[in-house]
Amino acid sequence: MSIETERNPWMSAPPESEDEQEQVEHLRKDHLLLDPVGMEAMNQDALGSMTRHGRWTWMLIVVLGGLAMMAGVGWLVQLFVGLGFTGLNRTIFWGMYIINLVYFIGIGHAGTFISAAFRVMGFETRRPIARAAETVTLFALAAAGLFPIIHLGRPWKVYWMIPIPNQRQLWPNFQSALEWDAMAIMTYVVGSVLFIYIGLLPDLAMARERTGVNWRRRLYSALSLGWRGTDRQWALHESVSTIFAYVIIPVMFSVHTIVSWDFAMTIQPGWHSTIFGPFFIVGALYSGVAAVLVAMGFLRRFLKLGYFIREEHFDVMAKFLLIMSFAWIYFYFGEFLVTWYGNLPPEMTILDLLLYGEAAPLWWLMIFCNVVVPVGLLWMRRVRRNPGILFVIAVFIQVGMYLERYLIVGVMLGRPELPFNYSWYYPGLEIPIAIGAFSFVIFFYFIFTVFVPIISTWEVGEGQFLHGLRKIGRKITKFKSDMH
Amino acid sequence: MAEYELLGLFQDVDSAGDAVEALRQVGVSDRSLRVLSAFPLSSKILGRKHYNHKLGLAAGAGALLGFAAAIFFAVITPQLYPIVVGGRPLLNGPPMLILVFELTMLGTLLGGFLGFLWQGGFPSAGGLYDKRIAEGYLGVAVQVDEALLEKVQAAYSAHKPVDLKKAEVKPRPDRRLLIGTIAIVALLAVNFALLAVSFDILHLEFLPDQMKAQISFASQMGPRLGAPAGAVPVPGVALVGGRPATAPLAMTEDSLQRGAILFDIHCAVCHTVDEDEPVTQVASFFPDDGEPPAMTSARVMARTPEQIFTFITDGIGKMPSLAENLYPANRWDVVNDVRSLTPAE
Ligand code: HEC
Repeated sequence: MSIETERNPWMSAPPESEDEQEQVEHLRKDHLLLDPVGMEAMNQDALGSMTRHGRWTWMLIVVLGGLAMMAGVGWLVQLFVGLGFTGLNRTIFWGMYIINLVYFIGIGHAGTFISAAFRVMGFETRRPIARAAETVTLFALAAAGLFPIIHLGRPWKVYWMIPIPNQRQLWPNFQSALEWDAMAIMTYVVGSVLFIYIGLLPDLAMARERTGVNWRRRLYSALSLGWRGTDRQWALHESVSTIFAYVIIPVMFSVHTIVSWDFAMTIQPGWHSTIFGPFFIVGALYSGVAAVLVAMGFLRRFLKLGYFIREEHFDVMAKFLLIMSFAWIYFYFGEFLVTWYGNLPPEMTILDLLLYGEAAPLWWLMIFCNVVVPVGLLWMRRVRRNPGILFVIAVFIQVGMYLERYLIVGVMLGRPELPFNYSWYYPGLEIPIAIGAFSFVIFFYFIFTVFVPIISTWEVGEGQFLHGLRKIGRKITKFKSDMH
Repeated sequence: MAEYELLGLFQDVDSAGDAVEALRQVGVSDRSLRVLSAFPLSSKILGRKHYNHKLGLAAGAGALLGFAAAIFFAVITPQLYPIVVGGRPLLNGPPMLILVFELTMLGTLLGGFLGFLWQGGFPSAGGLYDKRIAEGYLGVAVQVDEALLEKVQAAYSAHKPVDLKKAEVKPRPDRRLLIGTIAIVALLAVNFALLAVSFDILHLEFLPDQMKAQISFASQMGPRLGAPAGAVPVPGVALVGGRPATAPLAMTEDSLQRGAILFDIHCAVCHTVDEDEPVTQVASFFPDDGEPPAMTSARVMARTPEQIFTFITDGIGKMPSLAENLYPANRWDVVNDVRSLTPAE
């Protein structure tokens, strides 16, 4: 018996009538925050998930690790042979590496955003899924950060981006869009890592207390920095989280806007558009929310975290996904409507290419994945509450959003203003490296869940402490108390 | 007088709150009191005074530092290493705003985080703790000296704690200043190490200083050759039947001087004179076997003037034709210059 059950008479004392009993049971089944089992049981469940990787999961992890290594070997080959080994050519100088960069930064968007924005707006659903989402950000950003470096023909010169006095007598040009990129991504990475770490502190302390004396305990003791959970520490914790949340939201908008400016600052037809900033942000959130849904599905299924990640959470995220799909459609339509109405030959060349030209199969497949599937299915409550179907939809959206970036980089770039520069892009070595990058992200996600509780039990505990049941007329309903 | 730390464990918020009140009644100051919990409870719930921390200040200071760094990078460094791109001014408003925004935000985050560490006393090893606090129990901890100890213990037991722990507090030096200094020194050391690798202090083999060492010419840079009076710029036919259409020029001093200047402008980007010289920057772009040979190498020495003339006119192997750069007569000047070179002993 611990504080939260005791405080809430509706939860401990049996309700008076059978009807009430039924109502209470129904509510508890639906809502995590109304279904406390006590901190101890929760901690045990969350920590237990670190060792619940079954044989199949481990096999998957090994395979993923192998694929990631394969990408490493591919990169080595490219280092020795040179960039010419890839499908890049003089017109299409940006290929799958940049597509991957944009794609993974996009995925990385949702995690920290969901957790920061939901926190600022006081959405209770964030509690069990915030960490899972932030972790998506963490590793997606790690993968994204690799690609500009892989894309460099001579990666050992990457330090030329850093402003240190050097033998070239040159200084990075801070007016360059690429330098904005480096700055924005660095800020976002630092912010995301610290944000996830701050949220982790209490859980690491909890893990420290619950593990026997072994290497794990030593690891958690070091990482938890001696957290005790005094009221002052909590007050600081709340404030610093709030500061981070408020800062990270504009930073996350800036990051993807700047990524889009890498494109929009050129006069390449199809890229040179003021709408690109918000359009990329929406696209990033769209694919990012879908990626978080994939991660939630994984956690529920493989780590058996069904107590924490419930249908209500899938429902909320799916609604968010539906809204994002509308926003994405709106931007995409707006972008092309202006092109079509303006009727400029270089721009129309691209539109024709996408709508009925050689790129049409890809384009229509993208429309199917990004528009038909989600809009056609997500309005149904039954679909939104079914993790399996949602998983499939989310994967469709990943495919669609990857195609969208592929069309922007790999196809549009092949149609510059001058027709004798027209070109096509056929990726070669890039494909195994891209597969490796996907494996890399999933691999490290899994490995992370082995070392760190992926559910924030203190947040769930706080939520359960604040929520309760009360009776209005004949109906039992939930309420939330305000502590501040 | 010995100091003691006590930690009482309570099952619910109400009794913990009451215990806090009772402790204050016996004279424990609010500052030496702590309530430990598994999740945040507001100070009002626990009946405690509001805690005025200075986190906002730390974040603000970080923001200022970030802002200053951005101004340094955007305004000052371009003056030190001017790069004029497309005739744009060195100081540009909009791109500068982006940099300022990002670095200010970065400073805010770092400042907030460091402030959090500093004021929260992290990392710390001290303090009584109980495993059950992470399980939902509440801990009320106090630090008192011996005089108050008995009263405090009585106040605790009046509220029936689940458990009461006691430990003597050994005064421990505050190491944070030391750790902070070490961290800063380490950072500086890393910085200097980077400087040493990248700057002219250490000449590492893998970072040759070619940009600086190689010969370079700005566009239209002198000395320029004046045309003789009444000259008409007609180059004439260069080759007839694959052989030079004109006869070699005499090795006059004039011709040799022109040849040397033209060699520096048109050939020295790729070719060195002597084999012992380090290869040029451009040379490193040619695969190993196709490197431009040195002018006094055996291979070039074996060539006849006519052959060198045709190489300049048509190019050879990986070497491009330089016919657009040099009039036939000037090609002979260069040939004369090349022929006059002797390998250094
Ligand atoms: C763009 C770089 C470049 C420039 C400029 C250049 N060369 Fe060359 N040169 C080469 C390369 C590369 C080779 C080796 C060609 C091969 O074997 O494939 C070469 C070879 C030669 C050879 C030897 C050819 C042989 O087979 O023996 C001579 C002589 C020569 N260059 C003279 C000149 C002269 C004179 C000039 C200036 C008018 C000049 N080059 C400018 C790159 C250059």
